[in-house]
Amino acid sequence: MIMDRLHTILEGLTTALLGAFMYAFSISDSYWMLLSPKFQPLTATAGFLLFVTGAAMTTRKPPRNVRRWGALCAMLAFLALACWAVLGPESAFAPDPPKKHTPMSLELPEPGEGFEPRLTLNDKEYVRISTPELFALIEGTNKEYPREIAMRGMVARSPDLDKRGMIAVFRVNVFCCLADAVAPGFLVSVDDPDKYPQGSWVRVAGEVVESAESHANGEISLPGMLMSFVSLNHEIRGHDVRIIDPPDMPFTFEVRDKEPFAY
Amino acid sequence: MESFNLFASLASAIVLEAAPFLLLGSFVGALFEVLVPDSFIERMIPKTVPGQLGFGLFAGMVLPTCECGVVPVVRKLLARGVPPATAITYLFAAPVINPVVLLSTYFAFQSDLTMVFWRCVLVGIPALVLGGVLGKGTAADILNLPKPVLRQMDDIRNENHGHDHGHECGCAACGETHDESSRIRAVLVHTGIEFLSMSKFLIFGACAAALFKTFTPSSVLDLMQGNNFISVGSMMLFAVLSSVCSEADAFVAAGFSMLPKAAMLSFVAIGPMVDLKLIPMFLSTFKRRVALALIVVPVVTIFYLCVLLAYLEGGV
Repeated sequence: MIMDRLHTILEGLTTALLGAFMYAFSISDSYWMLLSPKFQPLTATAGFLLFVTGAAMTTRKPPRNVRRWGALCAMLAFLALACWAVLGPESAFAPDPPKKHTPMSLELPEPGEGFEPRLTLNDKEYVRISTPELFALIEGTNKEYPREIAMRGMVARSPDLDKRGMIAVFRVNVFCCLADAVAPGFLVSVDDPDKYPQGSWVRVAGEVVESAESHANGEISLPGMLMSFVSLNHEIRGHDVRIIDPPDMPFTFEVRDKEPFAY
Repeated sequence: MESFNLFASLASAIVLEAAPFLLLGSFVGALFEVLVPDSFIERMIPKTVPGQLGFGLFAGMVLPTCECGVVPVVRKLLARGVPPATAITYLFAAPVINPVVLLSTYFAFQSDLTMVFWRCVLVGIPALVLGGVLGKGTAADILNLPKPVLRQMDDIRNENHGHDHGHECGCAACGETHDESSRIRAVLVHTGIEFLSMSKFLIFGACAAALFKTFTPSSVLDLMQGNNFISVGSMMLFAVLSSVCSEADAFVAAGFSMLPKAAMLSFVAIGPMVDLKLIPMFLSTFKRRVALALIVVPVVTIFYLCVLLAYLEGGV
């Protein structure tokens, strides 16, 4: 009888604990590391309701000899795993995460709000665009894409690319959660690849050109990303490629098909 | 350590994304258990077989039941005289063709309505086929024990079960005796128990998906991407083994966006119909040949339909 009562309370507490974790996670500034910010209100609401549900479960009359040890152990193990993912290591796909995160918001900057959709260098205008947006325009929608672009991303290198005077620049795009993240990228021609260490962040201002020959699929990928790929038929001729600090938000969550791009 | 970090992040992301939908499904199921009497459903059933099939197909829209709890509900409906055409169709359709699952599918596949449509089609076809074929018999032809014995067993079970919802509880997860005076509290408790019971399958499925994504060599992925038979077959096998709840499985499937859409569809179509927790329930509830039909027909139908979809240009 006492064991039944203890088990009932444990079930309720575990459920409530998961609810509390979900709520705390939803209002933390680590949320974007696992989920798209568009799910934030959903996670917060579910966390709150789960907490209330767990509290109600603790007060029910204990059933006789009905114990869900498997479910309890699975949930406790998941909580440990989730704490590890959120609090322990750095985000798996952002090897150099920023020290400060911007508050999560779906409101992307618009022109005139401190964000200029174009970058001017040496009297030449470059359209600010994110790597996934450019990739989607070129490979996906077949829409008109800007030829002079400025984009940011992480560097990946290989001995073969080094010989050709190129680096690969990737940016992770998260649709819903980290599990469905993809990292599209472009090969960028540079003066000296050794200036750009593997994993560093760069801002590329350059020209989109058709490749002389198609790049091999799987030629280069972003370490740790199963789904990373470079454009097979287009590359960037780098005009100004410089190392930058990682952006406040290393991932992108929105893919726009016209200016102003999410950048 | 880096691989473990990646695994932990991926598994956590999938569970945290799917958990609200699992909770919503548990809540709706609890409302059904507590507030809707079975007699209400029975009064609504049409007299013709096509009408019964159609009713079974769309009953999930108003009476959503997770696949983990649907077998006991169907068993009870059959024992109470609901036609097999309706009950068997409902058995397969209810876990998918309901607002909660359709909504989660819509969100998981980035507002892609074609994925929602094809999921319904892929589930609806074997559900209607099985409902039509098995619907010609009676409950006694289908269930593992004769109807009078079942009723007797139900009576004994209900005496022991001790529900005071005003009707019997049909959920698989519920082994509780409730004496809550408040129905709101009963709904909350039922929701929590259902969520707790089902979450282990979600967590297991998420971990399996995360392991796959973390440790699968890209060469295997290339093989799966390049061969429709292998990609569809392996995703179906993964769905059966992972046993992820239908309210959350779309999020697991969406994590395999590198595969053909037909392979992802095969995962979300077969999972709610045949998985490791359903197979023992089928074998214990239905006669052996019926149980085998309930397992084999969806597997074969969905496999070939999905392979066909993968080959059809612009099919999905």
